[in-house]
Amino acid sequence: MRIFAIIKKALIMQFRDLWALALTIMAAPFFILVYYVLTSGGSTTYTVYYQYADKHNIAIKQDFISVMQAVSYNNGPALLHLVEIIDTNEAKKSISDRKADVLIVISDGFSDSLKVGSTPHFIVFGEASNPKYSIGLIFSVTGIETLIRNHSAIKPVYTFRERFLGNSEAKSEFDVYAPGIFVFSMIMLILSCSLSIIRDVEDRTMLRLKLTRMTVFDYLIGNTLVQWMIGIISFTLTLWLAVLLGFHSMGAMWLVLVVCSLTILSIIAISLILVAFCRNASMVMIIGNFPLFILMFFSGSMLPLPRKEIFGSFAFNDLLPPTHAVMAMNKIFTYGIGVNGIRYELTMLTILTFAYFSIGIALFNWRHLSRG
Amino acid sequence: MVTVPTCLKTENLRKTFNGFVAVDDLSVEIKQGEIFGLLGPNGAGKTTSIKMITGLLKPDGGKVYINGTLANDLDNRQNVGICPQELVLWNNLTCFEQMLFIAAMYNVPGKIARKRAVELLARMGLTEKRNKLVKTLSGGMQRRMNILMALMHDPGILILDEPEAGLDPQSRIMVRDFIHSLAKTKTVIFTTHNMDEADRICDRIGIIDHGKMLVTDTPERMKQQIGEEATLEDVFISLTGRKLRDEP
Repeated sequence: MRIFAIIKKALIMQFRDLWALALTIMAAPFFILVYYVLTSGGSTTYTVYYQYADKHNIAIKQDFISVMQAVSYNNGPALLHLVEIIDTNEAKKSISDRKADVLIVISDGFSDSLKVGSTPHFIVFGEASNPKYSIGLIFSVTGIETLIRNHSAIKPVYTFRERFLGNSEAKSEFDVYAPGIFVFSMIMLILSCSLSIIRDVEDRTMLRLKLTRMTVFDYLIGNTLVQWMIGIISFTLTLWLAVLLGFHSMGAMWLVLVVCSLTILSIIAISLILVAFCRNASMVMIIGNFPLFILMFFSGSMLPLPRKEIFGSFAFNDLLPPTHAVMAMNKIFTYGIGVNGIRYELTMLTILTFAYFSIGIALFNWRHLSRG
Repeated sequence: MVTVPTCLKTENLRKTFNGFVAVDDLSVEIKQGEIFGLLGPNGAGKTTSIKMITGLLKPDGGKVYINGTLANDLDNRQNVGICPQELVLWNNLTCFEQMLFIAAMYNVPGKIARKRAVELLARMGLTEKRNKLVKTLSGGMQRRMNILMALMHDPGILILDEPEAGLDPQSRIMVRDFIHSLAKTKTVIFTTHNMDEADRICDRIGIIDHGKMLVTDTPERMKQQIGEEATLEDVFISLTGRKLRDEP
């Protein structure tokens, strides 16, 4: 009865704070929409500027353009966006402004070298700190190698064949990054959840509750269920919108929802630990940045991180629930793996959720519900 | 002669904060149905004593008995209702919603809680505000709601910590009448700085200073001991002095 009353009260208060509720639920779908608009739902292209200074054989120049344009993803879209330039200084400025990723200068005598079978020479300019430079260069060189094979007797030093695992070859950039936004949306719940709980501490209504028969379990189970529902609604909307915009998954969506449910619970558990150290909303916003950034940047949801193993194969990142959520979702989305294939991730998520809840309940009780 | 049973008793209640003695061996007995006023300057130890009686604060020493039973567990404290000094209300709930919510936290069945909420709202002149969000009520109305919230589980002892603070004269009269009406069925302990109010309402008064209970008696007897024309304020000043007690 007490838990139902707490759920009812939490729901009423959430609905009365409609703007905050709408922002919590709509933030992740909004990110997905913005990301889709930014990437146009397509794949990453690398902008390659070129200057073709060899005037001797115009046919080779045409072929250069053709082979470079033919460098594409296995499912069709071109990888390189070619732009011919005249002024290399202007082009170098574009590279430093990251408007272009690679500048290739085909020097005079390039076609002559091909004709006589000697090693042709070209110059590449790029900014090494631009992550798109090295990948753009690899793809550009792939095109130039094709050109050299087409117009000379020089034999390739090696040959290889690419085999993609799962459905990774069919993935657009949107497909690749959307799961990161899914996990990010769950991590963001740490603030909205903490803020909804801290309200009772800040308004001192917790004082009134302390005098009743309410237990820490009543209070936290009631509030957790409401926050979990909000998280699930937000995630379902995000996933639905992503699928609508062309997101592909090899695996079952119900399994994604199971992973998401556990992840949301673990984030709520971490929120309880956060709230235990806060007295008001301002403190939540300031102190909350600490776990928020740890979860965002060290779980691999935003950036791929190297595993720093502490003992055995257990790494620091494994203490963070989103690490396992990212791994599980990758397996489901890319390989279509079922429950058995993500058993380890589900077990870890369950263990971590219990562990963080235990710590959170103990700290919350000590800090906010103990009787002095 | 009918002996009125003791409803609340404290025995050598003591609390210190970092060496500062806030409550020093406080012993007091309050009878059933009595309106007991706890008076004292700022920082005298009134609120700390109340917190220990309600169980919000653990005493360093001493005991609290409620209806003759040692009140060291939650069940015993359920017979106590407290209206804190500050407004403790859920601003985004209506008057009725929060009354039902707090009743549920005390395991009061829904049907009884609804009936009780309707009655209490009517007695405090808040029936029309039943479905209004608390944040939309005036300061005086919120004060009255603060009192009602302490009564939803029908406690035998009601503790009101400066309930009349911030009330206009009309509301103060309403609250005074309300407290008088409660005294028929409940024991009321209330703290105030308003000597006239205490004189009008209380059956007995305890004056506390530096954590010690200086005197407990009826207002009439206290005044008689000072002089014929003496007021309760004269009694208070004679016991606690004229020195300002600014709270830290």
